Amino acid sequence: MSLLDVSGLSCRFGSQTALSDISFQVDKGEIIGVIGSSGAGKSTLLRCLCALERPTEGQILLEGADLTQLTERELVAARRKVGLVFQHFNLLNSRSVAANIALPLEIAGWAGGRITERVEELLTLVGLESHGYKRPSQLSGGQKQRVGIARAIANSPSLLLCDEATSALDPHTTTSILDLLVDINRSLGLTIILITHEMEVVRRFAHRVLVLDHGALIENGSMATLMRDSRGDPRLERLLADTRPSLPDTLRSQLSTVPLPDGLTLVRVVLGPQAAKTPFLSVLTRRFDQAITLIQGGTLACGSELLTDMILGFSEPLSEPLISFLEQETHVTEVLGYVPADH
Amino acid sequence: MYRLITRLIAESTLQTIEMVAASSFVAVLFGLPLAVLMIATRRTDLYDMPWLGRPIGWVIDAIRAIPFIILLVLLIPVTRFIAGTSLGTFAAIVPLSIAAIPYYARIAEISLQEIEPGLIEAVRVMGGTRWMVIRYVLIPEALPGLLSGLTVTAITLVGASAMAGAIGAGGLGDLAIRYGYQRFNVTIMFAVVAVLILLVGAIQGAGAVAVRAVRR
Repeated sequence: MSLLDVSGLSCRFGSQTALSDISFQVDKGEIIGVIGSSGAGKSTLLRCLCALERPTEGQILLEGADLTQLTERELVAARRKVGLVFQHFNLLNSRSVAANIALPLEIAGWAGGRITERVEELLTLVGLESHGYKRPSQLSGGQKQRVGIARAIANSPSLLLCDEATSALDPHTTTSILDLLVDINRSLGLTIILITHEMEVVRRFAHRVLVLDHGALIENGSMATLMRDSRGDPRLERLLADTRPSLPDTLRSQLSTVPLPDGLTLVRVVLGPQAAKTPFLSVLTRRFDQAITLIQGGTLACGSELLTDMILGFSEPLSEPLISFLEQETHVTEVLGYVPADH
Repeated sequence: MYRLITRLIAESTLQTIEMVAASSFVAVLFGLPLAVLMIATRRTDLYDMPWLGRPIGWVIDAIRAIPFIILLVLLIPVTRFIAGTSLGTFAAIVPLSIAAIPYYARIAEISLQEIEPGLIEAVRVMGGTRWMVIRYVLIPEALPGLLSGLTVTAITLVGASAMAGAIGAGGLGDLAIRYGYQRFNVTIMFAVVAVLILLVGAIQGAGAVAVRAVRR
């Protein structure tokens, strides 16, 4: 049985539909990226998952308990199984760093001695050993988010939700926070759902991607699947655009849809993990007697695997055998168009 | 002569402090829960019962609309009932408190309103009950504002207690009116004003220290 089982989830506010018929499952230990542009329903989904919002229809089974059916009193207990990391940290300034981390434990009724011990352990885990006595206002953004994470996992939840947890941070800090989350995922086997509008974050860290668009779930799969399915789907293409190689503007303006005499054929190629370590371009050149230029791209880490995403320029129009070779060997082959060669 | 003045002023100062301290205490005792009630019933994420909080707001505004000097007279029967008499320092504490409660409730409400909804959400998500939200978030996070509000209230009460002199409450205001105004004793008048300035300064200073201590 999966850890989280969402089925037929719909949420309406008056005449406005925030979520319509969302179904997905999450297994223990997975890192899931939920992505969508603003207004896609990400926040509503998050609020439903941590039982702050009651959906209009559907079921949310967390470890077998249906969050949509519980009474307010039962919800209070159910929420303790979910940790939430906020975009703007939401730390209490009236308490020290250590007391902020202790709060969920106090709420859960832990004894004082055990709380102190657990807080020490958590401070070490997030790398803030000597900061326990400080006030949140004395910390940097990245440190505040570390406190936010420590607080969220203090009571050993079975699910950690991150709501745009890195959107208020600079790129360097973003990386260190995401590394911390991956560490926690590996060492504690904690299931994590990252909700974000940043494709880059999802690409690097999520094992699986859920794409929301206008309240509907339009994609549920690995990054490679997403890249394959994005062909001809402008909603997915737009999301991927930030993180994929794209044609430089000068080339894009010269792009033609019909082959040109001694021009270049531009092809986007996505290769799976095994190809990252094979000399793919050399094989192409040797077998099909083509001169190939790499316009943009290379190998990227996607979740736990490597994907190669490139735009290549072929000197000759693609022959039948070459096309069938590409179809066989690559995840995605997409002819983008033709550009004249320079003289 | 000067010994008499000193004694009169010392006595009156103590009476004023007594009135201000007692009514400030009552103002917090009743005003703060009222403010929390108004905030908590209005918020959809806490109790969502605006039919309870809103009428409290109306009553508060109604009391605040009455000028204090008129409230003093209006409340004489109430004062008699509670204090047994309508004269003297102890009796004056009743109308002063009744005026101070809605005043402080509104000031406290403003501080409580400023709290980020995200903080309340954080405690709700941790599985905190609504009572825990009030105890761990609303009160401690608003504490600096609640304390500066108390300072403002106490200083307003220093002025109001002078008016209570009109019903024979004693205190510095009473002294200034009877000796300074009715008997044209300029010395007492100036001495009282000087003591009032010192008193207000001391309250303001103590308030600032307290706010700094909790804000850190």
